[in-house]
Amino acid sequence: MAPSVMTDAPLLKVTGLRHSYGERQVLSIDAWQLLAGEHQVLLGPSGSGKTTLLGILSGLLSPTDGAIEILGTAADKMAVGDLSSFRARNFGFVFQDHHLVSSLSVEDNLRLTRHLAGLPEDRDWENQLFDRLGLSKLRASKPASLSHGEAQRAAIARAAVTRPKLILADEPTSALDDENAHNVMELLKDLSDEAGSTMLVASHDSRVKPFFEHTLTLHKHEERNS
Amino acid sequence: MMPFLLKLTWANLLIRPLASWLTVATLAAAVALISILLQFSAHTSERLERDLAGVDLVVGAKGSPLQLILSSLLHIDVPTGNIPLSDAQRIMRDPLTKAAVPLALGDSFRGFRIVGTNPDFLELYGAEMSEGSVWTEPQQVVIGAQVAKQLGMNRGQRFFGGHGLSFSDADLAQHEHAAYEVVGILAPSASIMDRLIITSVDSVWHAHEEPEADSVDHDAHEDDEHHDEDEHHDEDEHHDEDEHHDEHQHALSDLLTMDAEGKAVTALLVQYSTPIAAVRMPKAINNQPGLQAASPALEITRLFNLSAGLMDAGKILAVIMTVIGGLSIFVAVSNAAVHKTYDIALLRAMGAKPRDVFLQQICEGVIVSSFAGLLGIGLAHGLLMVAANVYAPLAVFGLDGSEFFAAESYLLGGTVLVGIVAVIWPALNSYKVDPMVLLKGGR
Repeated sequence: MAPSVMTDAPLLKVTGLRHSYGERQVLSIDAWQLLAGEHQVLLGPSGSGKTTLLGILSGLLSPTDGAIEILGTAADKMAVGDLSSFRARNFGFVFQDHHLVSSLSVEDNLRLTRHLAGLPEDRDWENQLFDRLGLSKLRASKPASLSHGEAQRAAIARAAVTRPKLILADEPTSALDDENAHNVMELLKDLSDEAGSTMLVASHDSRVKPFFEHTLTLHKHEERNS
Repeated sequence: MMPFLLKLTWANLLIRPLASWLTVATLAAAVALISILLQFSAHTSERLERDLAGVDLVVGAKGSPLQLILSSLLHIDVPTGNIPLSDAQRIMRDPLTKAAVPLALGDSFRGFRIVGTNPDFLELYGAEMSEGSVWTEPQQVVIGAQVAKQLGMNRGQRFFGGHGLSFSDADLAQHEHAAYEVVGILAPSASIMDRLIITSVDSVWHAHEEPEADSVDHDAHEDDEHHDEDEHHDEDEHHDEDEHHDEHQHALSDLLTMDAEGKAVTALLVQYSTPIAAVRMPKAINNQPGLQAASPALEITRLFNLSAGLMDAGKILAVIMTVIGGLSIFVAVSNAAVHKTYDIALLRAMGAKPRDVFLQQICEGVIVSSFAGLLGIGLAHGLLMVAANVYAPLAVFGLDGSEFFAAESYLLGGTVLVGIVAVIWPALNSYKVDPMVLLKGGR
């Protein structure tokens, strides 16, 4: 797979986005877009709305106000079922805690992801991912037997296994030491390129910033694109 | 998509084996109890109908009428005593009697009762021969299919009966002067005939005569002990057997016309020639000293009424156990759902539709309850098989666990339904899990 190429076509486009929890507004973005093939980091302190933005962009949370266009489709116009299928086919997730399905092996976690996306097994791609992430000997292991670093690498493999259009990563390095944090970011960037995926990483970890050319910085109650 | 969700369901059950097995075991115990009760009610009524064989009246010695029925028709109790043959002849000749089959009871061989009677007894039960023929001489016997199978007996084999009804030869006083010889084997009939050793009344009388000092049949005794080795086929022994048969070579008595002096039978199985007999005959017989007439239909109804309370208690217990089994699934799946909140949220985040997550939980209930249902039914049959080997009356009632019947498929369906109902609430809750918990962090 050739590395992804950034184009001028927006993969994500946000206009007049607002979100409040009760009376408390936590997110306000007038306009922002993420181009196809672009890797961008979403920085900001706790409470600045990073998690809320990821939830809204992935369709898990409905914004209080505003419009979101994903791959040219208005997210708020999609039915719940369609949105689920759309998410399965086009999005890959890396969570702060790896959140692998505990009863399934690493290999079956990847296969479940492809099944949910309605994709057939792709052994070659799975093998490549296991090789690249050093998980070949752990593919039959259950998540409980993995170290935190191994589990996070497995979660990255899962995010890339469907070759999604967009990989959303939430604090992927927060619990890792410098060396592991560096490795995880390198792998995320390389794999998203190999999978042809656009990537948005939400983090408050300053070690992440050097890996990205573009940054969206959120502040409490206001949006400032740096 | 569903097959992988089934795989996930199976994996979820295997990852907490203790909880899953406890749930299965609880429900399986309830199913086993219900299955046993179902078999009891289904088999006993069907079996009794066959074993009563259209007999209108049983005439025997005074005593408990139920005991007379149990001993003469179901062969699970000791007889009430004997009645003079002269009385039996009078009833056999009575115009109100269409048919009367005499029974001479009291002996058994390894737990199987020896019945002295006439060939009409075989006709009464519609018995068919699978091998050999009906006895034509004293000491010849026809054995039921289960007797042949369980004791590995074949035609030509000889054995001694013992007084009483016991599985062990040691418990019984052996009639060592009167060996029996198997001349026929009955086809299986799923009736009491399968478990009987049937011979002429003369044979039983002969067995109970005082033996002459030198008449003990040592050859037959040896033959019985070593029947597996087929020693009785040796030429010399054939010679011995021939001599033995010669001693008793005489025609069988005609019970209706023979001199009844000093002779007795245990019971008479009577069929009425006219409905009016049902009114007159029992009363007339019961007025005679030493005789009683018992109606099988009446006594069996009484028996069922006696056991009805026990059956009802069993049913109530089964319902309670089923509810506990259902609750156990509910608790297990609910607890698992709490622990699986992040897994469920993950499935939703990765694109599983709420319906898929709901169905996955339902699948869990279906798998657990199906497994419990099958295990319970299997357990019930296994227990009955073991119990029937230990306690013969169960086998007499057909409760040997060998037969599966339609009601058990409904039981299995009902069990699965309990499983589904039990998981609906946790499944609805999992339907509502907010995938945002994944982004909010923590586990």
